[in-house]
Amino acid sequence: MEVAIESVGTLPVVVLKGRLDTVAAPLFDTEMAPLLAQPRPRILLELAEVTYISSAGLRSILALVKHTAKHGGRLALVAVGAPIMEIIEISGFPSLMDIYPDRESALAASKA
Amino acid sequence: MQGLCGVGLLSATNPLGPELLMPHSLSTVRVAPSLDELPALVALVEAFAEQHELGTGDAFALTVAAEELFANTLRHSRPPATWMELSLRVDGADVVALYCDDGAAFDPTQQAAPDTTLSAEERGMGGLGIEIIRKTMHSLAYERVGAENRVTFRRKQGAGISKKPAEHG
Repeated sequence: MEVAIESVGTLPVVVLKGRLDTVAAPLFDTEMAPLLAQPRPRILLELAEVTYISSAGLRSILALVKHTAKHGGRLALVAVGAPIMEIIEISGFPSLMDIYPDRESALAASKA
Repeated sequence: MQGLCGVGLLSATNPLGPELLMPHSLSTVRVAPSLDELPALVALVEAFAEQHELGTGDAFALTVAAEELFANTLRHSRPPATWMELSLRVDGADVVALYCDDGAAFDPTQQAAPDTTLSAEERGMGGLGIEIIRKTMHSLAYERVGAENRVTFRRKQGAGISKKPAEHG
């Protein structure tokens, strides 16, 4: 698992790669902690190169959902591969977040 | 006899069947209750998937199911388990898996499904791992045998990760 935190203006874009499993999820949470020390109503989470996710990874994503909701916004999931999307759908998460096919459309929708 | 989930796996009535007596068809791994052992479980599923030319959706779903059961035992069993074991075999168009451990009795089939209608603020994570297993496996069964938990799950091979709809009913 690799995490890179970029920003587009004031908007954080988190780019995640690899496996988000029981071992990696707590490491991801640790990487996110400094970002979440500030109120973030909008975070883009790019999953194009995530190859695997389990409920532990969903728990980490839910933490971002809850943080953005608490500050009046929503998490944006970007470029989710088909297998990962199936797990997200099984879990009933799609209604909790905005989902975009690529970063451009996510950024366009996040400008307002 | 080590690595056979107790003596039950040797019985012809075991859900995995008597073929497991033949060493060449046995895909099994026994691990210690440590996060460091997760890669060993994943490696078993991936090697099995390659050997039997399973689809990527099958391999993904079986890996998640094994990880969820392993992680549940690790996180919740009091007293802790001293081992966990996973065995896999192909049965026609199905893959059948047996997960065992010697932790506290825990029946995943009795776990309530999470309420997926709740808002972001209200949503909890309880039961989500088991729910993923229910939605990706065609059957899930539990037995407590002596001091062992035995969870059997079966998946019909097919595209995607969610289980294919049942052919009948």
